[in-house]
Amino acid sequence: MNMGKGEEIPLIVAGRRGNADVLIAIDEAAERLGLSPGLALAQARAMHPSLDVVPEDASADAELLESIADWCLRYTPLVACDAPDGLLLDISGCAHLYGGERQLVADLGRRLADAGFAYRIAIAGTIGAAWAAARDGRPDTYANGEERNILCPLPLAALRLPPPMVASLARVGLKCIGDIIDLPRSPLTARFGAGLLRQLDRALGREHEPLTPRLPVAPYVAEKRFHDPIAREEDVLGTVEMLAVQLAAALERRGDGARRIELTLFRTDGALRRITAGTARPLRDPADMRALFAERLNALADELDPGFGFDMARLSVLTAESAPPEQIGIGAAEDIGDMVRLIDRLSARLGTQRVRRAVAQDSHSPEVASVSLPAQMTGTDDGWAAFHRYRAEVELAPRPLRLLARPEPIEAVAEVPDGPPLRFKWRRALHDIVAAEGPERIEGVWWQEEPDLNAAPPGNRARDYFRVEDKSGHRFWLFRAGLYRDLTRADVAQGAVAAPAWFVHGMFG
Amino acid sequence: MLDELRQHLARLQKPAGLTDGPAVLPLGIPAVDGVLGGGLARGALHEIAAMSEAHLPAATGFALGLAALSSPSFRGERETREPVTRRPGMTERGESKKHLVWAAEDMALAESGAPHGAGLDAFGLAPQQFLTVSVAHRQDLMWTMEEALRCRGVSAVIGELRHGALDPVAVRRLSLAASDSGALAFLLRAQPPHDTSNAATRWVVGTSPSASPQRHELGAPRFAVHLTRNRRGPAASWFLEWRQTDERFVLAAHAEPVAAPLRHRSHQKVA
Repeated sequence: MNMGKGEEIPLIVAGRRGNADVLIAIDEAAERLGLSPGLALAQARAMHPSLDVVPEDASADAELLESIADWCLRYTPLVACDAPDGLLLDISGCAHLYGGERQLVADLGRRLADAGFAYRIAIAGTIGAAWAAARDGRPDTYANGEERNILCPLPLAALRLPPPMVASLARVGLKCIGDIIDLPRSPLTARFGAGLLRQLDRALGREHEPLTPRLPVAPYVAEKRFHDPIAREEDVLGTVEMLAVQLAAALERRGDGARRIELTLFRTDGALRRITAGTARPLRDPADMRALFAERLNALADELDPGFGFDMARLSVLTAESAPPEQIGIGAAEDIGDMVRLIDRLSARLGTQRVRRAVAQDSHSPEVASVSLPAQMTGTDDGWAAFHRYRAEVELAPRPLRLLARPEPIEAVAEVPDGPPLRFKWRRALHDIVAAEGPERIEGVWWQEEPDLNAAPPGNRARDYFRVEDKSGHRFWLFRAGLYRDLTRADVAQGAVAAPAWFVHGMFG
Repeated sequence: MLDELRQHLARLQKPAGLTDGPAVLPLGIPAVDGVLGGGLARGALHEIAAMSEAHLPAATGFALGLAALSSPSFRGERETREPVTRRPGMTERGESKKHLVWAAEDMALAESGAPHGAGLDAFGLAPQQFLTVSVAHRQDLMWTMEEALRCRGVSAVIGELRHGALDPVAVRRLSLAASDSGALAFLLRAQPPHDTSNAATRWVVGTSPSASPQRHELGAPRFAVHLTRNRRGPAASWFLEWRQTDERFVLAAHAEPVAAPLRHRSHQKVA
């Protein structure tokens, strides 16, 4: 093959189809060499022995398609992937932002070409008609009602039919959509199944075809495009607040508040930045929203990377919750509001998982009875009133102020097998016990395998908890996992039951 | 002109938290309150250090006890004991739901355990008004404390520091934040610090054997409390007990003679 100066190197992607290696996709240079997709690779090599071929990578293709789909969010929130190489955009009510459908197509085409993509774009009243026009017809902007004219001259494959059906239709001489469009319906259905007419009806708009967007559509969205890209953090935050004002008005009309807000920043080079922030309570105040994103941006200061700037910003409320109007400016309520703002700020800066509040649960197991959950997810009373009553009722033994994340094994010596230890060694320090309260027995949960030797110690064995004080006044919460009564002679020797072991679980103040 | 500036400077230099007025939190023990000049200064930073790392749970208990006192209505149902000075934010019945914020580095929580909801409840604190914040860095810790102190819904902030010296600027910022809002700020330290600090008080706290009558019963937790720095009075030492039933500290009846603060004998074995 002669590759003189200035001549492009053809790009060819080949992959396996059935038992043969075939060309999957080729660029223009390869087209000029007389190649076409679907050609066997061996045949192509016979034509051009020095052909350079790239193996197909379907997952990378899918990833690229998804990233283009996300980038298309700048035009409409309703974007769906039509694998392997198509995108469906529902632009109802969006085109006017660009001054019309043709301008939108021009803008989209220009940006895609800049990024080096070949494209065919069609706009029509139905998904089926636009799909057919873009792939098999003349890509253009068609008005509603033109579906029939678009479809009639096109081959039946343009109806997105499975290839075997197209082949069997071809055998009876039906090649174009125009051939079947006016045929009596029942014989067609009887012979080719309901799928054929459903596809036709959808393309003609007789039947509605839903579009399944790739990302859930936010209930509230506000966006802003910039003539000159913005890059400074203050500008981004200013934009957030401006958009938040619009959102606040919409939220207020429907009596909603935002629980999760997403800021999407569209970089001029096509990259996307998504920043989400959660709130502890339905939020409407624009200044609060701005403060929230100020913390988020602070937390990822170097990652924002505006490049040559952002040319569009969108603020969407991902999760909204009804928020009754409140009286503001009354002492206690104001304190609570302040507290909620604090939780949001801390969560935004440090991460939701780092700001926690304890929740009481209905369980005997001390690890489960009080768990700490992200504060944004918890209310102001999570079972504590009930726990408090329960504690008073059964005179529950005191619980330690500080609980270790995982009980730590100790070496303990007890006077009697079932009694409290006399002394124990933990973290290399020896503690002589002078007083002990207990035992408080907490059985393992019955729905778990009882002698589970594979479980991390202490496992799911019955525990005897003791509150002990050592000579110098340190107080610990110890327990023995496993009971001596469960030990029968040779069990331990056989390894069927682990010997009881001591653990320290917490410290009292 | 110069005089004016000097006066202005003098006003600015007025130490945080030492503003006059009734902004104190009485412990309800005349001996202690007297030394403290009426009680623990609100709107100020207080350092509470454990005698050694082994005594950290005791220091935790002492700090939480003080924090519980700072919100007399913590449980709502509890009667407000007398002369606790009300801050303007509080309502008549003392129903304000003020939060406690506990900030600690990840390492501290892993090493010494995290505050336990059921334990807080047993101690007399409301777990639903207790926020635990774990942070990765010292800067985040200071930032969290400052943010929390500036929040009106917070009555006390406890920051747990494991090791290392304090940045005096950060401490100063905390003091200022506390004096702005009137909230109590506690720095809980695992070891007695040797650095100077501009905290209003510094306490060194250790455990003390409780006066338990029997082998099968634990008495009230007893703290050996040494007030080693006090901007409003002399240093002093006491044995205090936390009374879970009425949720306050009482002076322990001395079961043994009071020794000099152990702090200066750190080379000797304490635990």
